[in-house]
Amino acid sequence: MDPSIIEAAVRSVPGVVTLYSPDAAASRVARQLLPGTPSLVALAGSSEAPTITVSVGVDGSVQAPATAALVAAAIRAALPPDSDAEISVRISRVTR
Amino acid sequence: MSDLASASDALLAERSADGDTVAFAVLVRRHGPFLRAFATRLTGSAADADDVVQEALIAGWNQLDSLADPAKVRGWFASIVSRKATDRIRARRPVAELDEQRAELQENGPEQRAITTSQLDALGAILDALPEGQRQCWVLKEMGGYSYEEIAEQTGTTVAVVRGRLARARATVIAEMEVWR
Amino acid sequence: MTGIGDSGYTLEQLGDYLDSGRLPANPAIDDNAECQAVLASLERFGTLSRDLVERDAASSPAFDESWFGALLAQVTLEARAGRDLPLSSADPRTRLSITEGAVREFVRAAGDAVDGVLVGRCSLSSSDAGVAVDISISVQLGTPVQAAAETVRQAVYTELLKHTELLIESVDVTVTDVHVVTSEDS
Repeated sequence: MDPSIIEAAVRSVPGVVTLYSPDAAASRVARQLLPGTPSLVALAGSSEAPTITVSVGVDGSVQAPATAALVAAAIRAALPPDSDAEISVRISRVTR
Repeated sequence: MSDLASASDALLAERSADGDTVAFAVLVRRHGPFLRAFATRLTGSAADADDVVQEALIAGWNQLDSLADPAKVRGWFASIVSRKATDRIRARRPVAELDEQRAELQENGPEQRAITTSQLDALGAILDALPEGQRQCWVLKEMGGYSYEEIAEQTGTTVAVVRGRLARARATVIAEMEVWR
Repeated sequence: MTGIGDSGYTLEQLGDYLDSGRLPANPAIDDNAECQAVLASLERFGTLSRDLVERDAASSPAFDESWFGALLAQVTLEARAGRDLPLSSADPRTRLSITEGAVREFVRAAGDAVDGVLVGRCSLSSSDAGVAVDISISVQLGTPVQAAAETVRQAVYTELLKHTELLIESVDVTVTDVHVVTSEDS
């Protein structure tokens, strides 16, 4: 599974402003990185049951829960149809 | 919205404690110069002062939740600067030497300083020439406004040591400022 | 009798006396001219010291921007995200959330957007009754306080409804400060 494809899918969602590092320290870090850096999409678990985590900054003109759901759907759509991946989307910033 | 630059220290400290880096930046611009001047007087070195203040500000940012009175944020940062300065001073020379005269500055004796044009310059020169430990106590007492207990804690010594060093520093300052007059 | 001015007191003891605010009052020191002269000198050198550090600060070179930038870069690494607040999802394999830090930030922004208001502290505390939101604000001198607080309350509540799924028990806005905007604030 190519993290850059997932990253591109997330960026394409309307309302997404940027991705942050979804570090192992979980909620401790919100550091904006350049596009293409693999660590913007955290992949864990096995290849049969992977977990995908992203941390995003979103535009406040759209309801954050709606944007979060769209991001999850975009990631899901970027995966093989039979994939059983767990997807975790964390909103770390809402900008006006 | 009003510009954050017109906000009080307390408000900026509260926002910084909540994670607002812009508010923190305003605090640093506002108090940075004082903290660096304070650190320079403590360590006797502008280069060391820059490092000490940066370390203190980062440490302070991480500990802002423990600041009980946000209005006192400047003094609180200054006390962190003081502890970092103590570490820096100790790293330079063994503890036993902190009570010895700084020999290299002795050529600027009281008579020399008498020609200095300003009282402030004279006092500054006298303080620079004090033994490290005495200078620290003076700076923390007179510039920082800390109590003996606070100074003892920040310098890792005891109230008795602080009292003794302060008394010796005062004796020197009185005698040498007298010459200046 | 020895000591300063034959008072029997040493310089160290006079320093103690000065540092304790000359209390409790000691006539042996207070009525001794030399002691008073020494205390006056000590006080004067204290004031001079404070003037000295203020002068150092005022005359220091313009802020080193790269020093400042390096400091801020370090600080931004720890953005105080806080807990993850869950958002619902139809898909059991999907976990959605918004961080506490994000909530506090947009709450602050909502309050700041109100004319004459600057938000201070924003805290969220949860109980069985839901989440209690407590905000402290500073109002610009001249701004009607009650109206401003109420506007902030409404704005924050709206934003919370929009971006979270929190059960909001209360939104309390307390005015704790007043500020003045000078024309040249940079």
